[in-house]
Amino acid sequence: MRTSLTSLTSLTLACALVAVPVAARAAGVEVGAPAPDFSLKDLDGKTVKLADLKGKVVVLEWFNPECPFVRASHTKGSLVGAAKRATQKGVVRLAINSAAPGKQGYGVEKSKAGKATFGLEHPVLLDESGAVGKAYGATNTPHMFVIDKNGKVAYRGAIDNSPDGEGGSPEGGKLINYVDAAIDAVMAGQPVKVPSTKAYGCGVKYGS
Amino acid sequence: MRRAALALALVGCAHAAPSVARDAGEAYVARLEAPATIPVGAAATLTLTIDARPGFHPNEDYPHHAAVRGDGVDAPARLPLARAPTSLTAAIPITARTPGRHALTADVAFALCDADRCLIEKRTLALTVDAR
Repeated sequence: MRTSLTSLTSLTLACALVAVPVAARAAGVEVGAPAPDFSLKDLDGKTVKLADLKGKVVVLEWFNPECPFVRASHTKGSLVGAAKRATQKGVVRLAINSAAPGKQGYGVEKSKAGKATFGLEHPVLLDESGAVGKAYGATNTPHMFVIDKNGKVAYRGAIDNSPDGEGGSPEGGKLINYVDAAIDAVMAGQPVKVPSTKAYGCGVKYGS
Repeated sequence: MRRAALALALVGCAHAAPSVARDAGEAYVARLEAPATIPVGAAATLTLTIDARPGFHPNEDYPHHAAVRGDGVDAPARLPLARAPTSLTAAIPITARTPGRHALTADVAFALCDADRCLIEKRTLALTVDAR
């Protein structure tokens, strides 16, 4: 009996020890923490490393060309012209597609089609293993991260407060573009007033 | 016994031949229903139901909503839909200002997802209500 209890206690402790890192990994990177480095290929096979962009403000958008929320955001909502506005301020924009094979929006061809449809001029990077998405805790498309010049996450969350993706249903009645506000604050060396929000949209189509 | 039969007949009449609009997509079946007749100048209720097909569920963030319009009928310009694990519903209050048959349309916007994809749907359901 004592042996059984000891075994049960050991098993419970083991489960608890296993559960902690899983929960931490699901949460992803916190605001104020160093942005996880990555090395991913763009749609032309060129490698893009976050470490090479040190000293610049970087905006990451978790992207899925077939997600209707992404489509709405890029054609009607807050992502229309967002990349152009950001790059004019010296910000580097990157889109990351973490869709796994067989899932909505997966792969080079669909990403190229989406990039053309939305008129994106910045790189779309492929993360089909989902490792980078999980390191950041990207849960949705779009899910936005703003990284400051010191390589730390300054904002994570939704593009705006209108979860239809079109900017047509802002919570509280007034549309707020959280990413534009975060970029302006970071560029001015000021704290981001709203550094974290709940992302909305499609779930990231991870493989597992 | 006779009274019970009469009550049953009245209930049957009240629910006989409701006006129904139906739209079936690959991920859902949407249904808008009105009573067979509605009273003039008093509140009546349309019932909107969107049932997700197996595997699909309503997106948890999308502002699912309906907007109803029709000549001679007062209806909410925009009404949120109640979200359940596999369905969206709304009881839509309407009031007919004049007697007769009134054509109504409901513009419905909602989003559904399964494990592999999400859909944003915008559909118009139309039906006629008979106000007396």
